[in-house]
Amino acid sequence: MSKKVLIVDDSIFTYKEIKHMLSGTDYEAVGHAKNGQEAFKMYAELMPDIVTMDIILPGLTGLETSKLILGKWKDAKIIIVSSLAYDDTVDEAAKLGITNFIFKPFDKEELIKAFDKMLG
Amino acid sequence: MLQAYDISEIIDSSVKDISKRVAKIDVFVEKGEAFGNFEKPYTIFSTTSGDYQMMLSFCTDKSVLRAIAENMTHGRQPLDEEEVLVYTSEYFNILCGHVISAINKEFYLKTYFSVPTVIKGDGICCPDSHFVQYQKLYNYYYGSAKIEALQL
Repeated sequence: MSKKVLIVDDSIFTYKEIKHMLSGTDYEAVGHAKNGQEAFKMYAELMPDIVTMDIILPGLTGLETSKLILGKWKDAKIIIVSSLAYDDTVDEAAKLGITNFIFKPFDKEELIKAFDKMLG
Repeated sequence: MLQAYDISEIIDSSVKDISKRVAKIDVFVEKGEAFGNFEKPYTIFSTTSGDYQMMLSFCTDKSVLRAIAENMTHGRQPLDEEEVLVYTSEYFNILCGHVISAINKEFYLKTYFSVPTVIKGDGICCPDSHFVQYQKLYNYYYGSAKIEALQL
């Protein structure tokens, strides 16, 4: 059975790219949330195995959204997917217990490797 | 305060690197004046907040935006006009992320950038007091694009 992935990113491009990369793998993109509120709601509905989280979102940031999700579901598996490769947001994420990151642009191998590591 | 030469190398190397990796285009700086002459121009821009405040913008013809967007998807699917703008905004978003990350790392700053905005037209109208830190015209193979950084 495929592992469910919720993609939180305001860009439809990132969603489509990740969805395409996951086709034919053990993972399936089951949802796309464009902002923090949608992400929280969709997490409750879908209960995904993995959440990919962008940092810069309209409204709540990716970190604020992660905090909300982890506040309710402490075992949620969140990976930050961002173009910010050096920033104090990495430290802020670590404080929330998020230690998985992928920096844009990324390829299929990097993505699957990161997912496998998370669910190890 | 950062000087123009401080960020020039960062912007130039980021434009070349991200264009190659995301849009699969080897871009280079065109000789001459950095103004460009666009038929149907669009401008994508983002402003930063925090330690270093600037506006980074990318202006080019609609046809170049389409070429970038189609390269990003490896020509897998036909793109409508809205998708072209969304995809090229993501290209610019990644470019901004790399520029800001490099500035933060190099100068020990905490700078953040906003979600990119797309407008029709050539460039952003800014008060004269804003200092142009970077302005270059790049050859994107399918046409030219102007990249500017204004210190706010």
